[in-house]
Amino acid sequence: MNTFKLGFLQVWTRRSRLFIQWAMVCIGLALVSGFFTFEKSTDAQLVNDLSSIDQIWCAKGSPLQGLLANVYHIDNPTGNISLSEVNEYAQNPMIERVTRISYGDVYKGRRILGADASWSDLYSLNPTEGKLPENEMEVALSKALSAELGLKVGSTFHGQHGNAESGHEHEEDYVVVGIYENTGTVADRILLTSLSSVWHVHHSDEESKEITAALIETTSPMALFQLPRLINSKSTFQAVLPSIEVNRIHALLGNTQSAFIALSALFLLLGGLSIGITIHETVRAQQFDHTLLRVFGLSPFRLALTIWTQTLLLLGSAWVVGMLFIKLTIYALSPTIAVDYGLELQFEVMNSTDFKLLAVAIILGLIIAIPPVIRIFKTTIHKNLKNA
Amino acid sequence: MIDKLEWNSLSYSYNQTNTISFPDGRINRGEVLAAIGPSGSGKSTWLQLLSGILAIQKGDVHYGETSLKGTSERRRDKLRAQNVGLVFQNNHFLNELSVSDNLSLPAFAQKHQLDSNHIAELANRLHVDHLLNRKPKECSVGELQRLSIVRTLSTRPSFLLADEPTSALDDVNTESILSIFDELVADLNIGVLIVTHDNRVKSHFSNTINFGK
Repeated sequence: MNTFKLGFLQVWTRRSRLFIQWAMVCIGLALVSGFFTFEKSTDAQLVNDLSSIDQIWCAKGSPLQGLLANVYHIDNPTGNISLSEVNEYAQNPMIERVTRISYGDVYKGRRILGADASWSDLYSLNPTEGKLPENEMEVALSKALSAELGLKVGSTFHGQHGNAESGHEHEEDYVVVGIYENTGTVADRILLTSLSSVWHVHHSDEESKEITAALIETTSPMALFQLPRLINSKSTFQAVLPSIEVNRIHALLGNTQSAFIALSALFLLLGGLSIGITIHETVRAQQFDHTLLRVFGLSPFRLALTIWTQTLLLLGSAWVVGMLFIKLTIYALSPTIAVDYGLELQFEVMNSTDFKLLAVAIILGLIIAIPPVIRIFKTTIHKNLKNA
Repeated sequence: MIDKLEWNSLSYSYNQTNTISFPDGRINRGEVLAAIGPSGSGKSTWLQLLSGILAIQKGDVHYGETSLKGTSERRRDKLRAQNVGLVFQNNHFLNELSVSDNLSLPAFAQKHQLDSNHIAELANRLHVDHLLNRKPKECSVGELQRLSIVRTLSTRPSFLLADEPTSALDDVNTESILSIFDELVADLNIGVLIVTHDNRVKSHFSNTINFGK
């Protein structure tokens, strides 16, 4: 017999009573860990997808929508802007690089993005098969998307107008000419074609050519202040600063994040406290067990150790199972989430948050054992024999 | 290892007005002493004073040459664990453990190396060796009483103090337990002190102390 075995057997015999409380702690720990992985991944994704884009020129409207639609490709664009006007402002010496993008069609729910050749530089696209699109109606896509859509080099397909799959189908054939490595960015969810393809499909004439947005890299930080002022006052479109809009996203998500963490912590705390209450009740019911052990010579301190063993065993195993559950879930779902939502969940076997959660579990285990331990120290053998 | 358990001028008061006084006496290893008296006569209090569970208010108890008077609870616990084994009327076992694990509890409590051979020998002597792998709930009251004696003797105490060990038993089991006490005294040179109101015990032993109300 040893303290661990005694503690384990005392927990094991009450497993059906403790299971729900233990499961609540598991879920609480798993949710907190999962949430921090999600938060870290979204932060990294926001930065990765932004690449080196300093400004976005797009049709006037919500700046946040402009960012979401033209960089993260998860919202509808605010409209189109004139190509000639963009080209005029693109001559400004404060501009390092302009990447023009245009879209309006989808294939099986995935956006077909017409872009300058420089768009592939933003995300360092590296074709493993074929090449990147150079000519009209040529398309390249990521390995992940190719597997999802069943498209190979040489495959042809028709785009559908608008963002919904119910939009009318264009007659023109797109031809897949290349498949590139997955990048862990928004490029993995896009069917990339040239700007001219989009104009061709939508029968745009030379004079009235429009694009959805221009992604701007500037030469100096000064341009971040001067250029938007110029664009917003003189042009027919707006300049959106991604850094400001990303902060806005963080602010918008902030309350949700806090609520989520509070809810998970509440789960954890309630589970932990109910375990504490059960153990306390058990200690009361086991008073003659404890008397017997004290009669045999077990000190109150060693008896208290059996209680701490029980709470630490419960909280520790909840941490192990909670981590195992969330890690396996992240591992299993991350490919689907990456393809469906464009979020590359950062899978780590263990991270600093997980170790902090272990510390929380241990501290909680030590704290919830305090009332039963006090009871053990306060009760004498004589008192227990009288009550038994 | 002590050879005698001695007490003198012992009295105890649960409140200022009601004081119980106990007759002086001593018991050596290899002897049996039965303390007979009705319920409420203070027998259990006396046993708790002798075993160090209760702190001594007046008089003294000596384990060999060691006095219990004025010693801390922790020290009394240690002296009891080293020298005295207790058997109660209601034999309590930890139900989540097997009988065998229950028998190892005194060694665990006293941080002793478990002497499995000694336990097996005792179990064999008391005819309970076939019960070791069972759960306590699967044993009868008489079997549990014999198992509790095995458990108490597992750490080789010098004295065995039994509080109403036969009260819950039928005649057959009572006779069996009393014979076991006789054997233990003769073969293992243990001092046995029994407190009881059971007249069956009174007729079995010649060395008795009577407690009046």
